[in-house]
Amino acid sequence: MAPLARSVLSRWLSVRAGRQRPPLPLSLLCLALALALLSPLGYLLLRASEVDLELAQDMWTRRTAWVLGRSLLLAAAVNAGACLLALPLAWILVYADIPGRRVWTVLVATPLVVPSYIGAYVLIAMYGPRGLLQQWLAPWGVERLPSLYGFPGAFIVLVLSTYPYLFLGLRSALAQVDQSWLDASRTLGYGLRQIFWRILLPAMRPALAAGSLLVSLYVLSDFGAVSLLRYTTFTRALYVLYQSSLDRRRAALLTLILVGLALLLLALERRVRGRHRMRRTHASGARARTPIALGRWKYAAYALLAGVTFMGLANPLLVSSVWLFKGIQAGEAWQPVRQAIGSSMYASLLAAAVAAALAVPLSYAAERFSSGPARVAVGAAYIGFGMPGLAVALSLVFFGARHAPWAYQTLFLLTTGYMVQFVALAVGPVRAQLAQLNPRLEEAGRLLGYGLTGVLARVTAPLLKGSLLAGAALVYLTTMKELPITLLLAPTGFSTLATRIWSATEEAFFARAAAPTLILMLVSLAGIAFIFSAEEL
Amino acid sequence: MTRAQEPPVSLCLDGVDKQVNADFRLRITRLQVRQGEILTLLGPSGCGKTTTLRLVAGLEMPDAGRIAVAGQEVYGAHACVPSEKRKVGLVFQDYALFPHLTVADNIRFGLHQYAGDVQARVAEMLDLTRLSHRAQRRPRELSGGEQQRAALARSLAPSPRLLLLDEPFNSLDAMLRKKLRTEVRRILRATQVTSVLVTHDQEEALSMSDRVAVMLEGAVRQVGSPRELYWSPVREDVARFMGDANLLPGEATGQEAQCVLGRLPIQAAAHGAVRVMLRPEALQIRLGEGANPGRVQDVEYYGHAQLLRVRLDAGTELLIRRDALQPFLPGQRICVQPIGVFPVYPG
Repeated sequence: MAPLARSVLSRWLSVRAGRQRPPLPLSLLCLALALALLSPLGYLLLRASEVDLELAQDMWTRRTAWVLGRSLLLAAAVNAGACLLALPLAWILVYADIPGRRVWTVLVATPLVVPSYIGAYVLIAMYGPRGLLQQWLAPWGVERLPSLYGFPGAFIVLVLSTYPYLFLGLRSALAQVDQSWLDASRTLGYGLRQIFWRILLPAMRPALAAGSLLVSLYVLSDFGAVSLLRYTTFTRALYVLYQSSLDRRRAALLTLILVGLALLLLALERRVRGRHRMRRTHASGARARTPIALGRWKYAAYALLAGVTFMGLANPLLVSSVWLFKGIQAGEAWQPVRQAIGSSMYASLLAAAVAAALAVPLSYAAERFSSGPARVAVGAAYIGFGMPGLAVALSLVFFGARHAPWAYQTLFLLTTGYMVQFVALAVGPVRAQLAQLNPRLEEAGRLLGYGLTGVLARVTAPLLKGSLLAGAALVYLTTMKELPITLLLAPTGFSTLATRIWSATEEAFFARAAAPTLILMLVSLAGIAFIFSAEEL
Repeated sequence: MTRAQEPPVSLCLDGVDKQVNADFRLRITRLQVRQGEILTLLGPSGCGKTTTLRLVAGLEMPDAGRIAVAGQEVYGAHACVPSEKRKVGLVFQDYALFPHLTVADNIRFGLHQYAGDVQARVAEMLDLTRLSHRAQRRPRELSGGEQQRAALARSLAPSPRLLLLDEPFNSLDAMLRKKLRTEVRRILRATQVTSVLVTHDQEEALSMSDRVAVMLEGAVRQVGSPRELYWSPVREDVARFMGDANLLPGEATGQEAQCVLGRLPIQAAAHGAVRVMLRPEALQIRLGEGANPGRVQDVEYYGHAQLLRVRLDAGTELLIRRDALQPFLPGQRICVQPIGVFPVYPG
């Protein structure tokens, strides 16, 4: 090589090392990733733009508005219900003199990890017209229980799946209220009730706002519960449209509306969370809280805690155990369950490994070089995370069926779908830890004679091990419970635990859904235990 | 010393120019560090000292100029050597010890291309920095001073051609600082490594280094021995930065200048309006009446010394530093006698 060329090349290479430009392969990888993660949204936009005005007007029928209205009604009702549960729970577990508050807190928060379709299955299999309750009451001549399908069922299931989001936010907001504010209010002549309105409620307002936006997002995106309980919301209508109609443009436009709503909620939530917090004005540590004696109200508090824990945790375990027992008695086959476990683990492990492998270069490029493509890719990962799973699934189905038949119904497209939705779960912790990692450590590695990859392998990666593991575990657990993407994108005959619960419940084979439900519950509980123990380290 | 006896140059910066941000630009026309010496870059925070170190280490690149380490051009028209190939050691301000490795493994980290016995080298470094009993500890289990020595051992282990130390004592408390200064100086002397140290602390610079380079506003203003910089600063801003200074307006005529303290000998011939610089130590003071009479205004007592604020009858205020043996009190009549040959600056 000519000396001049060599000097130009070496200069380019080392300017790059001077943290001004990421290496070309890294930039290309990030660019490809950004494109892949944005492809569902991009494709929806593309297809929707083909819709002409006439068709759009035709679509905006009374029925569309009605479905949208039902979605919003459900969201509002669920918000109200979740608030009514979460507020007293948070107050009791922060302020009241209830023994074992830590244990109760974990028990009450855990239903967070139970997917809504399991909630729906439990509700139908226990309290449905032909559920367990009816069977137990049969000796007294109860032939049939009133139907829970439709709004009441969807409402109950979604309240039970979403109140933990509000509860956790409210609890930490209440825990941050300085005892001295309360003491000061007391000395100024305020009673408990006035303190609630004048001090606690203002302190909880941001958490309340952020929490209810999350709850709304959950309800709007939910597919499993509303479909199983046959309450037609936007997502269910979309699914039905997808199954019955061949006009993809229409479906694309409706999906886009759903995505737009979801992203709007997500953006609002981020804004609300970011600003306006009541803070302690002095730096010294907060004084210990004085528990409030509940007196006779204690029994009501216990009833609430026990009731919520039963409905959220014990009931699913009970229902699936009983149905499992019945299934075994009836000679239910084990082979499909084993197969579903295998498929679930395979797909989730694959997703976790791919997400972890993508998270390192992506976080590194975004954090250390603040490279443009990397930042776009990270943004795309968060958008994908906020998109309803059904929307991700549908757009990839449309895309795959039309433009990439070789990928359609393959593990490749399924994993792509999982990445669009969940790669943010792995990028989040890795990036956070990388941001806390002193960049001087990497510079020290370079000065001691290692190149970029050497430093990445010997310094950065070992130090990121913890967050990488946590991120992969999160992706693994979430993927295992995922329903709509798996349902729509999995190869034919590829049945996972989630899809098995879905199809068995839909056809009212309650015993068939029992084993997968129990397994998913246990996996989720193990997952939340893992996350709790990781947080304590 | 004549040119022929001077040791070879270990670091040379020539016309190095870097726009650090919108309103700060670093320009070093020329800076040379000789083999085996300890040179300190001294300047207030934000003067570009640390950036200079990072340019030498190759962690940042200049916009123009030439940098040579031990005669080899590492940045310039014909070369751009990446930091891992420069054989330059850097002790970071926060040490940057690898938290996942023990002290011994931290030291071993840079020895992957070491030709000799790696184990022996690690032991030697541990011994040199008196850390042998801490070899298997993790960095977080060490005290601040031990971390600092471990970082030093890690940087020295691969025998760098040049060692850079970025504010090495900044994160230590005052007592430990003094002890470590002596310790680090001993280690640097023992290894005879050429060192460039960055600090904003005048006392540290004067006591640790063979030569000091004063940086102000992104440029090297003066390079010289600690003594030169304290007593013969070439510019007024350097004089002020190096320590307390009395700057008296006067009229120079050749080798002398006339000012409120009389005719004083000056260091370089000058003519016209000047400002004469007198350090507080260069003023003798005596109780009672005499030439240059005045009155003590205020006394700051330091134990080992005292700083007096004196007002001459002619109206000028002076700072005078004395040992603490003879007590002075505000209000006492005194007279002042300047001792020495003084630098002057254009008035």
